[in-house]
Amino acid sequence: MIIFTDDFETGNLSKWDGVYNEPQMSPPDVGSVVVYRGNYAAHVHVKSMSSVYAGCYKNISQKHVNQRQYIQFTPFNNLNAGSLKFADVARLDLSDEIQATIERDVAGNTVWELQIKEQGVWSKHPSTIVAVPNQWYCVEVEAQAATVGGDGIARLYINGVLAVELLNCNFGTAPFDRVYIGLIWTEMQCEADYDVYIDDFALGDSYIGPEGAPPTMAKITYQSSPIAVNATIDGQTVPSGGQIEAPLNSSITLTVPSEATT
Amino acid sequence: MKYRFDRWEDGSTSTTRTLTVTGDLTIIAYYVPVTRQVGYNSTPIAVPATIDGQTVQSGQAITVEDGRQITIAVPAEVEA
Repeated sequence: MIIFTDDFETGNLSKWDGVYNEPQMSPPDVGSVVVYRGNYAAHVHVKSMSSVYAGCYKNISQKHVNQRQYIQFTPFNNLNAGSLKFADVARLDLSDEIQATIERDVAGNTVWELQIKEQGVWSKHPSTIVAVPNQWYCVEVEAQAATVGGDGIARLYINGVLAVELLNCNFGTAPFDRVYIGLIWTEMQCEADYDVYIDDFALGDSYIGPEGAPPTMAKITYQSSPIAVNATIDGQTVPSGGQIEAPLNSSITLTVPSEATT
Repeated sequence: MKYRFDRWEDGSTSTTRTLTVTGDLTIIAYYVPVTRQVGYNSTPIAVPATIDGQTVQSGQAITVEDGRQITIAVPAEVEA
């Protein structure tokens, strides 16, 4: 069941319970330059230094949490190996955390990764799925609290594919308290600033999965009133009530006659 | 009947319109009837006529849609 969604089409982060940012970082915002679907996506401008963060959070009380979002990051040249953390399911006491991250070596080889903290102990679990800049990824983190102890579960799905699965995690039994998105943390010093974009967030208590592919075409319906007059749309004759498809963000030209006779 | 283009649904009035497609949309072209003034006079005396059932005084004009057929009738005899 879906508990919460935000496609950021409000143009702001008002659906979230709060934002956070390290003092050298700007708070997250919502922009229209890079989007997965619709007109808006959340955005974090990341300073080049390590140990910075900015994002927003939603308070929850769930023992089984799935958070799915679309993530894209711009190129960055890291000067040291490390990880970028994009999504987090956590307890407020930070005893247990489950995070979607990327892990990059100094040569720039980058893979998606699941990082977990069990009773305060961190571990990294890289996948074999490569992460490249300027490409949208459907990233889903699943976290299940333990029922009796030692049987917690953490999973990472990339584009609907199970990338990492960890069973018998030593999580506590209490519900998770909060989910975070944005740039949770970076371990990498980089040559220059870069950007992270987030779109179509969904929170549920079971597997959510990817959305369909984003639309690339739009339907253009033409009507005339009160009489039926043909229009010409990019050289194509369209009767009143007719419809054509055009690529999103393309430019179209319509022409109608100045006079018509019935 | 003859109509002339009046405007698009966004209020613009050029018959050619260029726009950027940002999503599904409906475009509407609005037309209005072309009208003509029909003046009526009788001479040497003022005699009302009936145009399509409407009484029109001598010296008055009515507006009709271009291309529409109208019927005008005057009395055969009048007393001044």
